[in-house]
Amino acid sequence: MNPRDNTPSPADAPTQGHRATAIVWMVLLVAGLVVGLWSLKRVDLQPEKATHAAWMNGSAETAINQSLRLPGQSWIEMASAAARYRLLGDLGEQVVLGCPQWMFYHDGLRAQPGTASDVVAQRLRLLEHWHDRLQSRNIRTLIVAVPDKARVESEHLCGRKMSAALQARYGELDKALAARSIAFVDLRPVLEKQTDDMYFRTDVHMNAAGAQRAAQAVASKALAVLGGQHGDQRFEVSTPTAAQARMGDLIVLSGLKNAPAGWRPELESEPQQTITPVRSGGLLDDAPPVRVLLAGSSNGLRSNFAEWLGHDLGQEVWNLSMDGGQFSGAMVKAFTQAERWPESLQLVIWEFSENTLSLPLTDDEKQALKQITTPLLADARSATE
Amino acid sequence: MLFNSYLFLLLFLPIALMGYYTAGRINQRFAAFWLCVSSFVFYGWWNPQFVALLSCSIVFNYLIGLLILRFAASPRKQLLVTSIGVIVDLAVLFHYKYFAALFNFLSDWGLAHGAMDTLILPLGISFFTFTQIGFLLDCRSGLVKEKGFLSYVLFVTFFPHLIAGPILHHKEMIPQFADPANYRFKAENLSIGGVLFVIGLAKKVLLADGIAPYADAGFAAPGELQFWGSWATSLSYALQIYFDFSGYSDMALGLAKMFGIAFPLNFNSPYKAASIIDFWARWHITLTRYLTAYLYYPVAMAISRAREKRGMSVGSGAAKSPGGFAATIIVPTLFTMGLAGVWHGAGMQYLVFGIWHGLCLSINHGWRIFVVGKKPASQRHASVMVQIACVLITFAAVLIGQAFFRADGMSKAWLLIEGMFGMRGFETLESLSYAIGLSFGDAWRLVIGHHLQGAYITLLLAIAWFTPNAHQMLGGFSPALFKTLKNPSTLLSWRPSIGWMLATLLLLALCVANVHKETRFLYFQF
Repeated sequence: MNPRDNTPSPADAPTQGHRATAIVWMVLLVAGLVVGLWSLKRVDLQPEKATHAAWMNGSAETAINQSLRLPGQSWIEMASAAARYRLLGDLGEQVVLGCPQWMFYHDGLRAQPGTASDVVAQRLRLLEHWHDRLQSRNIRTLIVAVPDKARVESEHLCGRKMSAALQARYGELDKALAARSIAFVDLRPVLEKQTDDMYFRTDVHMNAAGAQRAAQAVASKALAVLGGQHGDQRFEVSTPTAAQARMGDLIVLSGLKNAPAGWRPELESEPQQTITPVRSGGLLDDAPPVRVLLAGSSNGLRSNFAEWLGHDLGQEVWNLSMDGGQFSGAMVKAFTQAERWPESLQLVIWEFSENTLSLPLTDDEKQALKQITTPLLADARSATE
Repeated sequence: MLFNSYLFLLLFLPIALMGYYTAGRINQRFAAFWLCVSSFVFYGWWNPQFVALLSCSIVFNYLIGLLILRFAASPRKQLLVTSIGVIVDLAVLFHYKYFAALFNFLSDWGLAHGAMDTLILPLGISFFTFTQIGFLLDCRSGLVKEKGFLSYVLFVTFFPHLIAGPILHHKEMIPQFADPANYRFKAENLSIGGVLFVIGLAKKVLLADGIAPYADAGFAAPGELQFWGSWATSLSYALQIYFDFSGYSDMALGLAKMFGIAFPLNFNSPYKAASIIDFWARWHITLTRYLTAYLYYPVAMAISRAREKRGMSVGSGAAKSPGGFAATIIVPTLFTMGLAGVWHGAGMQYLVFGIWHGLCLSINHGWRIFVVGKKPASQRHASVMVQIACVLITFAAVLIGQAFFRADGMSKAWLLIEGMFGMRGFETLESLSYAIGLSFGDAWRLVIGHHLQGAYITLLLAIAWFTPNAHQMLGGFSPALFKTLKNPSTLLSWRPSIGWMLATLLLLALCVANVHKETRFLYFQF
């Protein structure tokens, strides 16, 4: 090692300076301790994190660690996100900026780092398994994969690219389902290359125009699967209201919900419209028996997708769509209620966003896969013994 | 517990520090005991179950150390006890780190049946095992004089180094823990330790974590990257690991200084190295000296003794002939670097990483002996351009090694290297054309936002190559046991002044605003 050749001269080592600096650090340490204790007092540990096992495996400690917050933490995070957007065009790890004012979900452009390469194949296996379970109860399945916004609105990416693997993914799904004879609605020709936008600028979901077109295509295929039995339920479609400002979920995801105008992409304006089944209003006005169940993602809860679907089918749809359900959240939820399904149920429309195919498996999906593979492995073992 | 967490910054550090100096005013042993307890809490916060493993390891090695010292007059018994101690340490390490991987490897080759889940790796097991093996070997060499149990526990567990180094020598730490003066509060310890800790925290939170997502995304799918994407991924990882590890080392040295303890320097601007030999003298310095002392020298000595017995030349004379060079330089270098690679983890890519560096080191030694060594001393001075070329060649060699170090397997490493050689074509800078006709703000956000990775890489490379490191900035105030080169910049020379205090506080504020992400250090997995 080199000798210390820049040793400070006595004049360079002012004890006073060290003392003043040390006092500042001491004040900060004490202030930090006060804030830390204040924050610790506000930690609300979930019951499952307060067990002996959780303390022993470190998950309780991790939960405490993650619960600590600085006073004004939300404001700090928002200010940081706003400055990153305004000065660097950076929207954080989950969201990317395409053309000005256009936001895209990062998972739609490339597979999430750290995701196993076989997740799509595993999901296809789940899909086949659940299709077979429904078939055993004489219920048809119709798969709907909503294309990613990056695929449909690619002209607004301004030079960003969807990875080659993800580009190929939709076609692979189509092919795999065809090989298994599982009904599938290809929404690419329905949504791509339209003159109007089919998705919100600042949201991952289809807008009203996109949802209406998609629902029409799904309904058409569903009617074909059901043997062309269009229902006779009438719906009342209201006149769209004046456009109102709408907070896009990608703005929320990038931490810019509370940022001032100019420090986040502009909010969009969207008219509201309602689609409601027409009832006679009588005391015995029973709704017709449910024939179609929609187990969907957040797409099923936005832009009147489910309502337009019911309208186009001529029958109300039992909508079990859920936010954050990813690929199979709604299907898992639907199967937990399988005992209570009405006898009239003929079709399950399973809708998910294309990008959820490539996300890491959820705990529910891992468990379901395990339940499928364990008996198969046991059979294989007993056959070899 | 992570240094870059609110829990550490707001609760652990203030309590540990205040308790330490309060206890130090009462009794030195009480302060040492307090520090041990604090260190166990620090370690156990991640997974309390492994505190038992750490405790057993400490007690076992301490007792073995005592036995080795007791048998000082009986070399054969001493060798036996030392061997038992080292073997048990390595067996525990092997069990946690390599057993499952080896079993699955054998299973893949049809030599074992079934598959095994990888065990959870106790945090820092490689570091505390190596530290203690070094202690046992030092006991046998007669270098250990102090054998108090409390000092030993503190030497192993002292939290700033426990998880990811630096790897400490017993002889340089125990005297410090035995010195009563170190238990008394000194303003300069807090003043210097604080600024070094903040510099390290900034390296981790602002620089390493900022570029990490780009490295992760690139290494997740290297087959999809073309030329620029592959280089950007490789550079992103190189800069991530540089600022991550350098930041950890600065934080460790800063924290130790706050407690009145000096650690050896662990990082000294390795990307400024003009040769791979120089690189290893600057990167993970304490691991390099450990491997040199306990692996390289013993092998080199054994080879020299064998050659001597056969009447062959040894030392610098031996290295001048091709055969002698191969025996006395290449063999111990490949052996040491191969094991250094495997030390980092189970997997063929780690072995390749080590062997690659071994080869580079061997070539570098060969160049030094057979090319530069044959020139007259007056002609050995290289021009600035040659120096720059040497730095770039060294850096390129490091990047190749890091492709294997980071990739999930050999095939992905090859894919990245293929991309770096342009074997999958070249990208265009398409997004620039979209900026034409936009307002300045939108155009700027479009261009910079789409090329933020390039901007980060440029900024971080500039910091790594053209700015003095933290210890150069601290100059004579640096707490490191080894010293760095002189700081060429007077502007960036730290002094305990108001200006530097304000700059440090600003840096700290930026770090604290980003600390909540709590990303783990890369070296925690080794």
